[in-house]
Amino acid sequence: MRIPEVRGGLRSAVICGAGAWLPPRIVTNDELAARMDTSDEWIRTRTGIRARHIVSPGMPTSHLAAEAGARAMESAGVTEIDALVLATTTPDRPCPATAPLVAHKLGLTGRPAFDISAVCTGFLYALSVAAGLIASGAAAHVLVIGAEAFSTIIDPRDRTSGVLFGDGAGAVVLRAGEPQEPGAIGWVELGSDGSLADLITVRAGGSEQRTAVVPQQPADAYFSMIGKEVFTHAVKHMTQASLTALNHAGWRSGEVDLIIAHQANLRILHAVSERMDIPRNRLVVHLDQVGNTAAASIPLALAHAQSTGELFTGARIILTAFGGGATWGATALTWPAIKVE
Amino acid sequence: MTNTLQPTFEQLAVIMEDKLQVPRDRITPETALKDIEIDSLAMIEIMLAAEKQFDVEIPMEDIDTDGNVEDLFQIVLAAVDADRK
Repeated sequence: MRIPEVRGGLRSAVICGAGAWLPPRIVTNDELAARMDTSDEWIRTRTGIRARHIVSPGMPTSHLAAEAGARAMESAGVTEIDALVLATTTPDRPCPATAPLVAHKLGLTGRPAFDISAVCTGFLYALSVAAGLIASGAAAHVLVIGAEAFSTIIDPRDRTSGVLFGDGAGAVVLRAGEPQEPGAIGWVELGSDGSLADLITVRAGGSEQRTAVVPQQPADAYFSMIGKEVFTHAVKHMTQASLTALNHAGWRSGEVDLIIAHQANLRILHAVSERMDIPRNRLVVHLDQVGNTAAASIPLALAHAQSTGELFTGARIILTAFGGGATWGATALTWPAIKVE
Repeated sequence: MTNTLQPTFEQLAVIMEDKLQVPRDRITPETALKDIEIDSLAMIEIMLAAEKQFDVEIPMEDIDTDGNVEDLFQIVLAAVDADRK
């Protein structure tokens, strides 16, 4: 392992670059309605989603991750990365992890690289772990990627959860820096509750299935979600985690410029902002264009908001998510001056 | 004796009017939930808003779209009473 050059005393992780990539194929609500029993109106009014990007043949998650990672590295102006952390629910294979292949594709062969599995909270878990690598001196630059080919685990006949998800990838580069710098990662509030494992799941493909006493059903090979319960848990945990993160940052709700939440459902986002007494217009909304992209959702929304100018240098932002596990998390940070394509 | 901190039906009706975008005069205790097009997510949104308004936790497990508005109001009252104990 390459020994990073870390100047003494600089141990906070600071965002210094960001990038994103969406597969070119776009599927609208109307196209879905043409082949299954759903409608643009149902999808839009229930979730706010209008379209999503879908991978094409020969485009596994590592492809999306490498595209986003390369763009983040270019944005940061770095070619040397000490570690790569990839958050995904849809690895190329169950074994090995996808991160080493992504590192290899990016010319980072030899660097430590590993996957983080926390579904929609994955990017926040990955940020926390990456910040820890920098804090411990194990790395001076870490590439953190959230990437999903979620369409590959959706049952094509599933007209409820199936229409919600999309594919894509986003990434940030973290460098060693000081805690008061714009872009510095502070406290990352994280949590889990394994009793909720059935809320968001793909049952088959692992050791549970292989050691199962009761035979599993064909539908177990696909993603399933209990939407109503997820809605309630998501609103409560995202709100609570965000308030804790605000507390650590020493900010009041009124001082938050933008909430960049996991883009699961517009109605969840509205409920969270209402519960936090933050005006709705401070929510970054990206799901209308890309759907729910699970672990890629937050970095995609960051890149999108930066490109439209909605996310400005110095903006006080909250990142928050709730996902399968169940897992949840939030962090507060000030957005740095970076260049995003 | 009426507790002045007791949630009023009017407060719940205002929440429902906002969340459902239906006129206030359509929200009476006898109104069937199915008649005001509450979908299952709207039910949760209303209860979440009620939690904030009345500063209580409302168990969401048994809430369904059968019944009428009075049933929802009773759920809110029960949560407030439970919180007081």
